[in-house]
Amino acid sequence: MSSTETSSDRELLRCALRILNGDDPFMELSRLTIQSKVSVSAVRDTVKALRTGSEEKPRNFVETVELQIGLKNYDPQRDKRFSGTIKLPNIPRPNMSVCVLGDAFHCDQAKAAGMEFQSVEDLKKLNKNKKLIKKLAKKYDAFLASEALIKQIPRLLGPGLHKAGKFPTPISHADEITAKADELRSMVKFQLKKVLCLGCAIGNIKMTDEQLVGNIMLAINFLVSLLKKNWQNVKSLYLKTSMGKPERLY
Amino acid sequence: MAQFQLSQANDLLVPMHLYKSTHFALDNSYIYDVTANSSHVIVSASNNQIKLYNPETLSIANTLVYHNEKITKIKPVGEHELFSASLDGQIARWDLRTNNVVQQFKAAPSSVSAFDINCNGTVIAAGSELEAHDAKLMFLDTRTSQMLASFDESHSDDITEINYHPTIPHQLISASTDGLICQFDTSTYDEEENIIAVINSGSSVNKAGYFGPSAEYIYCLTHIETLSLHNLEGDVVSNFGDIRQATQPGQLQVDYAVDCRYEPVAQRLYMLTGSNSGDINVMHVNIGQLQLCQSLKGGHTEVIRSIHWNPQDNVMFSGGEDAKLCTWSNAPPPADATGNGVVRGLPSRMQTKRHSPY
Repeated sequence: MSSTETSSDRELLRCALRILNGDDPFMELSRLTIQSKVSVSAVRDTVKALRTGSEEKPRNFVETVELQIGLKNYDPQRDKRFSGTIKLPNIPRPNMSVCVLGDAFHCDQAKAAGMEFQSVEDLKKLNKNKKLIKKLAKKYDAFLASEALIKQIPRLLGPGLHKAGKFPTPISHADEITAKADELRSMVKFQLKKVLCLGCAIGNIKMTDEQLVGNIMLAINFLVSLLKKNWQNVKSLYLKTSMGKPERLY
Repeated sequence: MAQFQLSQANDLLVPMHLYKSTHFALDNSYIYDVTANSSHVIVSASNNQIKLYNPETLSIANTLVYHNEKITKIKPVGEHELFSASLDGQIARWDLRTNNVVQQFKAAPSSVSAFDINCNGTVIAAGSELEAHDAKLMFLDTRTSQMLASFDESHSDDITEINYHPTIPHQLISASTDGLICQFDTSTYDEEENIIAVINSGSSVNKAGYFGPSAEYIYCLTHIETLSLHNLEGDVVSNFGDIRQATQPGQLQVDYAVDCRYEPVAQRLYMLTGSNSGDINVMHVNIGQLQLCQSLKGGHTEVIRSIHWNPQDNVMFSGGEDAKLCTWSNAPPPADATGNGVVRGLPSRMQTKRHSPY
């Protein structure tokens, strides 16, 4: 198919450029050996079809775009766990609320950046009250915490944030606070439980086609690289919006 | 760009090669766990059996059958005991002199996805998978089988690893697919008060353990094949990122990490990695550095699931998804397939007792 040839040629050209730029030729050759079975143009076409479907029936919320991978030659009971997080190049959840549990430095930074925050004193005031801590956990999607403060969290809050799956991510004084918050917003989880299908959020319908394509390509290549037989473990790939019908990609 | 430097260090280990191999079963079983005591190599597999092997000949000394569901961990204690845990919610205590289950610990209806026994043998800590919104960390009295406590707030997803501190009987770490490694002090059981420190890996933790001359560090291996080292306060001492970046196509294939092992005499941390085609790559871990010590090839053909290795002994046992159990050693391989060659190579405490003629 002409579209596959073009993308292979482009990939070869990019590899050649990287080698000329000083990158290791062996690394580049290895990149080509796990040749993607899905071309950029095929992804782009599927994203377009997805968008058409979503526009036909607009919803009153921003639909998530999900990548669904059907596996084959894989035994969820016996094979190693398939679980983790991916950092996507384009933020899939820009509306994710992040609260900073900060020392004086980070509280000032958060204030200046218009971010919500809680100081050590604020957390002490919760008095380890389980109901209040649960309320705090529910109020935000994720937490950042100053390195010094994160060590006090077990003492200040007990396991209150753990159960909600919202234990904070550490930040140092050298980190840029809004960049770190955006990093959190770029991370998506994936986990294969007892079935042969894995769903992974990779964006939302308000992103541009190029942004979606970028996220999808990265997610596919990363997830496939973790499978022991790479593409031989992939039976199908679908893209789906929250309320839409699945569009087959592979 | 890799977050570490890769180099070679051929002189850190005495070179090992394939000494012996055998098949656990001929039914396409995966070997899950390989461990050993002073007299046997002990192996669990996906057909829910545990086998005891003669470490020199790899002949089967005994087969233990008990669990109905996946065996998640086996751990030998002392010369004669073995503990095995399963998703069926049971932990069995075996007497290896009679090959009988002498005690049962019931975690059911919770499954047991991980467990460990403290250094004085008084408490078993068992972790479960996420079931009905709870991932439980349970503490069981080894003498009475009674449940001493059950923590259900500390993890929000499957518990994958539990390790007690090597010398402090009430300190332990638990790791989970929720990305957290929790450190507990259970002098008294109170979940609100017992958490000392938490490491957030940001991903899903596969293996975690203490290492260091006084167990003052923790290593963390995730399911996305990253390695990080931490102190007990939770600070990152070294973050290696994706260890698959050590791959040098055509020369070194690193597809996953099997586990880490600490060698206390030379005070070195090693990471055992593997390739999808069955290579074992032994790496020495230093701050920001990975040193390839040796690649062990020709033993396995599929993913390696477990390695038992005492670096001081120069003997390694490995098991994988090819159902093979392999012995690696610096001793010359036995003269013939039945292992009738002179028992020269393996350290004497690994050999079975021989009748003294005098």
